[in-house]
Amino acid sequence: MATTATLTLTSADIAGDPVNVSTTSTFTKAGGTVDMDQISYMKVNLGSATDKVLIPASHEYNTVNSNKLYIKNLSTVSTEYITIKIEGSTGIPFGKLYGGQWAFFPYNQNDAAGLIEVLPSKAGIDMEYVWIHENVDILADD
Amino acid sequence: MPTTTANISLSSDIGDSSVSIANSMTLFKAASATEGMDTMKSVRKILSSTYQVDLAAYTEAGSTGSTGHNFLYIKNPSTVAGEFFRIGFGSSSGNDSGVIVEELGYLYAGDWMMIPWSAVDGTYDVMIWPSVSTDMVVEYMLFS
Repeated sequence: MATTATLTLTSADIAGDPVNVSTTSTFTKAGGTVDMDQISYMKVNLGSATDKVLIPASHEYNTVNSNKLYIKNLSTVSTEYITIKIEGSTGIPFGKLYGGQWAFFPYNQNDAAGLIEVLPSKAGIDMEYVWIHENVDILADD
Repeated sequence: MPTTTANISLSSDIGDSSVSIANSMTLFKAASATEGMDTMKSVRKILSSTYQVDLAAYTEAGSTGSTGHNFLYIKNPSTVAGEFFRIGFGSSSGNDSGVIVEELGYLYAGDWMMIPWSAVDGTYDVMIWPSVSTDMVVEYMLFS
């Protein structure tokens, strides 16, 4: 099994010379060579313009892991955005994804309060996300 | 206005059916569909302690305050599987061995990340914490 992500960053005119960056990562479990083996993919309508918890609280927060998260704002309206937050002890809304923009980053939910949340700028924005993870037993017991 | 494009290609055969995602975005300024980000900073740093430090202070961003909107690319170019950076957000306190104020995740050898960054104020600095003190290299590019 293998999971890879390739990024290409290009610009012909942001600097005096062209910018061209290309990099590929193959995702393995923390600190080793064993491939990641769990994935969750969702396309959702975020509904009301209130905070939404993106990833369920894990039984294994604060573990060293190599989890990754991809998020895309599916809106085609440039003024519609989704604020991405770490809802921890202080809460950091660290960035906004405007219509059509995406983000890809590691996410390890470092404590029980360190959930990733998203806050749509208006009701009804569609979003998709992919969570690549190595945590086990992520589903809440009944 | 400059045009900068970021493409991602994500593929996985973890599940019984494969997952393949390809997306492209143009790095526009906040709420714009026409005005491209027009400044760029490209940095390679060598970190030689396991203290957490500012990777990028909010003042480095070209767009700050309540409407701040920048994109940040970070890569860990190490080839040693066990070497990682902890990435988070908080206020700079110099060399600090304490806990990152809000931790995002672990960026392992060969991994990259691309995030929007609001850089609102001094509590939004991007913090980094190397796992070893043996001259770990980090690369980042900041678009505003």
